[in-house]
Amino acid sequence: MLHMQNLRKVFRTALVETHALRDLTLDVKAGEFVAVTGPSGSGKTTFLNIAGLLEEHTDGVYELDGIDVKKLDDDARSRLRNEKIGFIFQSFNLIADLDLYDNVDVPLRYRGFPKAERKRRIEQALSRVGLGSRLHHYPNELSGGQQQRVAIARALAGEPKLLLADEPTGNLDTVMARGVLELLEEINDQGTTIVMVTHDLELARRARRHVHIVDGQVVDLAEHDFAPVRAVERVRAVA
Amino acid sequence: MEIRPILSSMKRNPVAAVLIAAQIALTLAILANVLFIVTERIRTMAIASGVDEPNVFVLGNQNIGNTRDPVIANEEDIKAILAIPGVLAASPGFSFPLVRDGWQTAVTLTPGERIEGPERAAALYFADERLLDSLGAKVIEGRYFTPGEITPFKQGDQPNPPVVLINKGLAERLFPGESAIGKMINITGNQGEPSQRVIGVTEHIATPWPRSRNPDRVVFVPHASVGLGGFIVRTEPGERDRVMKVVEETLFKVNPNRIVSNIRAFEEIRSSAFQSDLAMAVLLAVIGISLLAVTAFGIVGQASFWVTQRTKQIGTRRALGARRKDVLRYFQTENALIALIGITIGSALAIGVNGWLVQNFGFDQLPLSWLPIGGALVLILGQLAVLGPALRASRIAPAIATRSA
Amino acid sequence: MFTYYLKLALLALKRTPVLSTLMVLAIALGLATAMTSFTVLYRLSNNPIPHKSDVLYAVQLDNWDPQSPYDRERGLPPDQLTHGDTRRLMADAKGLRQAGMYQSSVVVVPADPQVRPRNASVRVTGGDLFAMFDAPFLHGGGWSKEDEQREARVAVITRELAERVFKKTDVVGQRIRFDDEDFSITGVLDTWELRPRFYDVTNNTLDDPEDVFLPFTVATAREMDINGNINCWQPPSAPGYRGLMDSECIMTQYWVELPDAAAVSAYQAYLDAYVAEQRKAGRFGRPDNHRITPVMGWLAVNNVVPDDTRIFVGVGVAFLIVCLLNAAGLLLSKFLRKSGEIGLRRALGARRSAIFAQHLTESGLIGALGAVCGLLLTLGGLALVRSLMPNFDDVARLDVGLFGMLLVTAVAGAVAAGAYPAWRACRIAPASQLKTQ
Repeated sequence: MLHMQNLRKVFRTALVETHALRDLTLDVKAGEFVAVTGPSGSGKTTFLNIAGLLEEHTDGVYELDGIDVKKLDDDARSRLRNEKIGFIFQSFNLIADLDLYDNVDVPLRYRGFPKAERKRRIEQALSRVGLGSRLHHYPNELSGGQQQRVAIARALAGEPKLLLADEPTGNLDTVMARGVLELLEEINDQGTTIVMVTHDLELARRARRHVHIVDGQVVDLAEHDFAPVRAVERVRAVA
Repeated sequence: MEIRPILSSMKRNPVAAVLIAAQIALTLAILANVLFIVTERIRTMAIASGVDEPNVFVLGNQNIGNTRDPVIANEEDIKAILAIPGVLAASPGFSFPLVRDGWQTAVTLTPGERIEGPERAAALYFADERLLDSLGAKVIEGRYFTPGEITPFKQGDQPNPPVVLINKGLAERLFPGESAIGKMINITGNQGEPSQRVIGVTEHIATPWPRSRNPDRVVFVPHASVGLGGFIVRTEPGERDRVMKVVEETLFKVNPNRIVSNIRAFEEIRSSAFQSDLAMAVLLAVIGISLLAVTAFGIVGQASFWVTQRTKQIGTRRALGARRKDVLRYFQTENALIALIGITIGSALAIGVNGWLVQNFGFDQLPLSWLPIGGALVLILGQLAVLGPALRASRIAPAIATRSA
Repeated sequence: MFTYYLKLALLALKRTPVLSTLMVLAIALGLATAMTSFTVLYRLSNNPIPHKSDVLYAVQLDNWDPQSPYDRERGLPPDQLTHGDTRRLMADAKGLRQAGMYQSSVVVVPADPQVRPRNASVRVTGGDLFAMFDAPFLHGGGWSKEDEQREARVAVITRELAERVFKKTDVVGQRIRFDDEDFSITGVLDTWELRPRFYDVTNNTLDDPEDVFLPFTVATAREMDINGNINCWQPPSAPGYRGLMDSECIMTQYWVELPDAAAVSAYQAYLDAYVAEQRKAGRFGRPDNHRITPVMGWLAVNNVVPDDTRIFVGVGVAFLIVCLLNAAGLLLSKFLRKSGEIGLRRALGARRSAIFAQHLTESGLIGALGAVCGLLLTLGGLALVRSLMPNFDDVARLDVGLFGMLLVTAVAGAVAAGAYPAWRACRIAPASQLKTQ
């Protein structure tokens, strides 16, 4: 599903060159649930932006679902984003002026589905996250956890192959966070690949696979039963 | 206040600054010329007629049928108007100051002189023994016509009297620095020997055409224009409106075979004479005010946006010790810088636009002193417009810096 | 997608009501100013007789002072003819149709002595005028050449005068009293829109055609006054009306219809010959400067459109530009303020073109709203012009075609003003702003 090889990302300004990613290599298979962790400034966000086609990488290979994205122009990247990827952000990123229906509608509009199809998908997606009865509420009428469920519904409505989540529970309390996580696991069980960036090791441990990024490189690949505390210690040892 | 950080911030967002500067430049260019035109028109409209305007009115009169001798009919009509209580004087005629109808002639001093061109032109007023009194004007040198000098003037006649009066403006042009009394002039337009003797000079009286190039050159000829046009009437103060109401019936009592038309107070003559000037002044003033409003609101809108956009940055500055007035001054300096750029370009543009108007429409040169005045106006406008958003910025709490949203 | 963009645009307007209102008002004000001035200009520059304007020519002869030109600055010949030249040109009748003419007036004396008489404006002219200018007859027609030769008291009147005097329009053959003579009515003209009234630029060109038309020969015999400019470079050599008629004073307009190029050159040759012959009689002491000018050229040469109108248009257009610049600046602020949402839309798969189109739609919507408000303001502006300039009453009226132009200008202007801001909006990176919203 996700194939990254020797991926590099360099930010250049007149004075400095910052290597946000250096020779990052990672493979994510279809159906996996991968947690990506790393300290602040490690390149997690850059990794997620590149994985989500929000930014272009400088060097190396990135194939998404078998497509080499380096060769794509902006329109093709937009289409790929729209069709294959669903995003979940820490701060939900719902549009405050649109009701739930219209929020979930946003990516479907850009996909160009006919009206009936959009309606079906929106209602289905919102029902799936348990908000099927609140189609015409506005985001600010909902709790944080509910807002994040809307964001998940928006991500799912396009039936993406890959779900990219950026600290999906970062702005939520424990109870709500658990609910969101259970929802993600359920989605993963139904076959959607999930890559989740988080600094919450508790959360990372629940993922089937745990990837650690430090200083722009994947330094540690661990299976799901890895002990989180040790992971941190080993990272320190390497650094 | 340091200017460098403002400049570098502008450099990173040049388009917004350019749009405001362009708007200010155009505003100044338009405003300077519009204000100039408006003041010129107001000055034109304020031209003195020399008439006792609040107490004077004119009316049109046309006798029907050739049954009455026009000279006698005129005498009877004037007598009847003078008999109306409150009337001070009345004279026949069709051409008076500002009425835009009349007789224009060339005035020469020596035989064979060129006669064409506005420099030679003067308006002719046909004067009976009371005309100056009917206008409410005075002789300032020499004397007025005696009744014996007045002769009737009918359609097709050519004015060629032995004596004339001229107004002050014409006297000063023809005989600068000396007395005009007793001088000979030629008003017949025949390039011959001057045959009109100047016996008096009146105070300022305007021509019928206030917008012509020389609106202050008038010759009075001692001809009572009978059966042409109508009458001019002067009343005692406060009596005019009442007289205007009864004058038509008074004349019909003398002789019903006539058409009385256009009974107009002098103010009406003045306003129709300057109708297009007033229209232009009002329309341009409306545009000028709208222009200022649009530009001011544009600046307010833009500044509000930048304040919102930089909330965090401003909070950080405040956290780092910037005082409220530092923040205020930042936005005001920024606006002043942009305004100054706009004013510089706008001044050049204003001169260009005026040059074009001078070339194509015979406008006067825009006095250069107008540009700093206009510039200051625009600068103050900008400062006032930016004040609201800047004050809002200055009230941003330093704590914003530590919050993420 | 357009409906989606429209829905988003409406939403955006609702979200920033003050800013949006300011933009709509700015565009409306700019449009109203430009459109008010354009309407006046357009109406004043109207071709009064479009189907014939290129075959009708004003005739000018240069009988002016041998010592000095009539128009030193532009070198133009006098704008009117002498009464004598007019009579002779009409008698020669070398064009397809021709008419010398001037404005005069009569007193219309009603049959009922209780009704007070009133003035009527008169066009003194030749019988060719009606066919030449396509005068719309409601009843009857013009007078004949014989009428002119025997100086018959005949008249053509307008339906307005007929209705006023007779309370009906079909009055052909009836008699009407002008001053102290009875005239026989040969024809009644229907309402005649001729704006500007091109045939006499010495009188107000915004007036309607005159109430009464009388034969030139009759007017000469009756010594009818001339309402208009009489301009002399030397005083008449004889006194009275006859003296003026035989003087070098200019006082009449002269029009000729020449259907093709051959007719034009033949007429020019005729004028050359006429001037040469008059020279033998001691007239036309100036170098040759006679000419014929078609309708639109004549209106241009005589500045029928006042300079003030052109300046007004210039100021109006400049103001519109300021308003559009203003809108561009505000749109830029407005769009960039939504960077977060735009970045999100990009992340969710919106192409650049979709973002661009969405924001252009928003600009266009503001333009369309500006057009609607602008229309109201234009109507107000035209009402203001009419109240300030009563003789512009028919000029300062909104034209349907111009209203279409208003709409197109508004939307196009707003879209143009929104193009750069929309382009900036679509360049917003999808990744930006997602973290810190």
